[in-house]
Amino acid sequence: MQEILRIENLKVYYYLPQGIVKAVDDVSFNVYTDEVLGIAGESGSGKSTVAHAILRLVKPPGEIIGGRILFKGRDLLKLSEDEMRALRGREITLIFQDPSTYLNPVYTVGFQIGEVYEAHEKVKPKKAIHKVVDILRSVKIPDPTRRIYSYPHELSGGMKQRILISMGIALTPTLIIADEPTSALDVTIQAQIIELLDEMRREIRASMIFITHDLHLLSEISNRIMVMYAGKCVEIGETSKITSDPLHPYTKALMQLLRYPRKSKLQSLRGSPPSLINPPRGCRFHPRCLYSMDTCREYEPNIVNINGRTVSCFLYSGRYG
Amino acid sequence: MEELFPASYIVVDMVELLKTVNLKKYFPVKSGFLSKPIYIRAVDDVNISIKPSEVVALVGESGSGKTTLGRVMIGLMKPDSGNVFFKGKDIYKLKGREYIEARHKLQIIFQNPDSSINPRMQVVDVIGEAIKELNPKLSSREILDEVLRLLETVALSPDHIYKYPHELSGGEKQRVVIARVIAVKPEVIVADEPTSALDISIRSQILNLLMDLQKAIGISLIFITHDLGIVWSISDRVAIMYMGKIVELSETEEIFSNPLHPYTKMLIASSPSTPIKITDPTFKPRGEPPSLINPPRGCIFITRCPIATEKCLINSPPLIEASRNHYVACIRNN
Amino acid sequence: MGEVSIVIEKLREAKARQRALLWLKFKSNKAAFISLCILTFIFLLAILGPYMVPESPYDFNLSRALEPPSLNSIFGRDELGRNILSRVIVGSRFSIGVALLSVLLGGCIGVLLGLVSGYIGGKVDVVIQRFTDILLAFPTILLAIALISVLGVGIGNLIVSIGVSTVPIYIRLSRSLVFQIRSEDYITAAFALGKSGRYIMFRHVLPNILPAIIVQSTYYMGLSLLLASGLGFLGLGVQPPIPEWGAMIGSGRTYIYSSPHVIIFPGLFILISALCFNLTGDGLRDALDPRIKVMIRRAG
Repeated sequence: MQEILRIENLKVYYYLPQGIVKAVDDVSFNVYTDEVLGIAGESGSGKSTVAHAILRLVKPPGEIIGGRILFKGRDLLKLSEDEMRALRGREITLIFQDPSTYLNPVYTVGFQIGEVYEAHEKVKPKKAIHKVVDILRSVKIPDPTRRIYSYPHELSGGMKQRILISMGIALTPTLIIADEPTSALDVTIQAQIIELLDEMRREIRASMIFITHDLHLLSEISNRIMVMYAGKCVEIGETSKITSDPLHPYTKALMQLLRYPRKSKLQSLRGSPPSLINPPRGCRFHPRCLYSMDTCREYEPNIVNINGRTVSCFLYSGRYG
Repeated sequence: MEELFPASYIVVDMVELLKTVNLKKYFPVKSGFLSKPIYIRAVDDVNISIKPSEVVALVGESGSGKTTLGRVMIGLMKPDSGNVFFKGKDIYKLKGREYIEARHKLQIIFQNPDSSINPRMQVVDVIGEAIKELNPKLSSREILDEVLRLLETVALSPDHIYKYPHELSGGEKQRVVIARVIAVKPEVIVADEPTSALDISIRSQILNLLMDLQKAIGISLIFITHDLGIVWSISDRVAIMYMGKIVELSETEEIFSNPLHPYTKMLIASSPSTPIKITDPTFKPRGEPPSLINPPRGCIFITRCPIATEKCLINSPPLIEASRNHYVACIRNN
Repeated sequence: MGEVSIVIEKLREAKARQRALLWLKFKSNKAAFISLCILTFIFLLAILGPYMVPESPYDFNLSRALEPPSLNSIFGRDELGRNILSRVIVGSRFSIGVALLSVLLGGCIGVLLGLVSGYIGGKVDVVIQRFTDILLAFPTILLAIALISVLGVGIGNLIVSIGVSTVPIYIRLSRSLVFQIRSEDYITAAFALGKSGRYIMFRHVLPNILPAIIVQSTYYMGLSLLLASGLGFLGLGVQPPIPEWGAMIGSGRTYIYSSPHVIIFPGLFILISALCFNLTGDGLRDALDPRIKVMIRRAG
């Protein structure tokens, strides 16, 4: 198992008039070849920001202010914009939530997939027609030879997402980042898209970072899961271990939230996600934590390794280590 | 907690509190000057009745018509044909005093908390205007007291009264909406995916609140959702909708232990949060809903159904009682 | 339960907080902020200026006609020897006053009609829209001229003419804004609570379309000012000897080559005022837009 991506102490802050939003605050993790790493978290956890940071798509008032992003050994934060552009779409691709906003309504879909080719392989879109039809076929879009002349508005959400996936896979990337790719889709369509994504990924032996708030989904498709809360990474581990034996109190709470007992009170997590401008002192989860101790209110927990899993919680580490 | 909830104001002696009869709601689609008018059949001949104090889940994906049905049932959208009866009276024929009384008793909670509250109103006024509906002559002091009492019922601290919506979180906004709705003492509430736009850690708080209120007051809840986990947890009965029609209707436990319609099975097979798994690969999710403008001949599910036959092309199957209180619209189930 | 007075105090505080944030955003737009300062100055000029003029704007002195700007008279003198500075200052009251009042008049009528038209819809909407179509068929300045010819010249009629010319634009604007608000859930919620159409229109719809209307009104103030000046230039607006800026240019146009100062100064004031109205409007629009975020530099 080789490491293809290593994030070290990543920090992404947003500078707003109300204050500094610490969207991603010292996050570290890695991704290996041919695996799916799921990133779980609620809104404000920073999971989407991580995805944007990897591809250096963070725009003002946001800024990547610290850390390293090592992709196949190269620090992406040190590359020039031209070098990044060569990487995007080719070695690292991003598949996002709402395909309607990312497909240009005035060009046919065939042209837009062809554009991906033109950008990286220097082939004119017209010449790439055969390739484009092949790709559409591989993502199971019916009647591909006619579909290349369709405009985005003529397609359903599921089909648009298939096209987005096809654009993402077109150049056999090493890493696919999928940011809530099915959240806007109906559940029967979602199931098909997830299956397709997984199939395609395996075929080209790419790694995938799958970002979502739907833990049920992650437990079905990812090899390892990273749980984020308020800009911090709280736990990383193999999916089966995390679901059966969660370590961090937040992960424990999330697993409880997944249970839907018949006609009785649902488990709930008290309080609400914290402000990222004024996060709680010490451990960010402590106001909602059932196990919080005095140390948790004062100090931020450091990261501990337990049997190949990573947790950031004073229940497992000594004290200030 | 129980002391906080108002004593139940509901006194009902009828079995069918809210009932629809052959309900149809079609939306016209513009298509040029000279062509025939085309319609989207959002709600296509729906018959359902809601009992007092029960929770009915309306389940479906986009285009199923669940949202439209909810709104027509609650008196917000006039149907194109068919009727909606509340306590025996056709709600779209009511006028004057009777209309206002029925209007108060049928309420709605929306999916998106951000657009549910006037961005320029403070919480005290948001809930206050609802209170004034039932009691126009209250003094400001009395209204304030009532607002504070309602806030306590939805577990919001008193200092929320001077906040503007943008200063509230999604969960807090939904609580304010719930307080507003409860203020007019409703008997039926349509909850249109009230937790879909909230963070997962907040969802169960709101669901628990809704269920507590429902039990304490005895309100009937029509819960629109696509999340089967929530359906399993809170509903007494489930209506599965597809392309404007109810394809299966039964008690919750029955539907999950014995799903009959192929769409229901496909839905269960695709839902990550379903309580009961379906392992039969026949019902693996496939295909996409056909166009709502040109529905297929015969059974609407025919384009995706793994067990369709030629007979399915002939007629759209009616909703028939297959076993006790379990209705299905599928000829393969008779 | 807390004391009612504390509660009311907190309610006020919350409203004040809202406004403070708005002001912060507005201030960050330099062009808009400077424009607002200039406009404030001009407004003060209009109100207080006439009490502080060096000379009466009506005193003419033919022996000093067309005197160029000098230490004696900073803006020079016009063809009748009157002090242009005084005339410009007093004229500000008329020009700005006409702009303000006509926009107020047109706005009140137009917004009300647009509100009703957009919210009630149906036949009412059709009738009001046809009426608007007719008004919009005329170029605004022609409409104003037509109205003035019917009503006769004079400052009151000027305000009415320009006001009525802006009515159709306001109707269209508020109607389209009403359409955007009409489908919001909180409107449906108010209806579900049993509120009447009238209540919803004035309590829920109007307050939410007002910000956009206010922004547009700053642009219409500039427009109105230009209309008034244009009509004044043509001799159809305010009558001499009243020193309205447009009229000053009109009566001074024969001297454009020999003594340009006669028209430059009033023209400059028209230009700056209209420009500042527009820039302030831009700033206000950006400040009210929740999507536009302002970036602040980190310390150190």
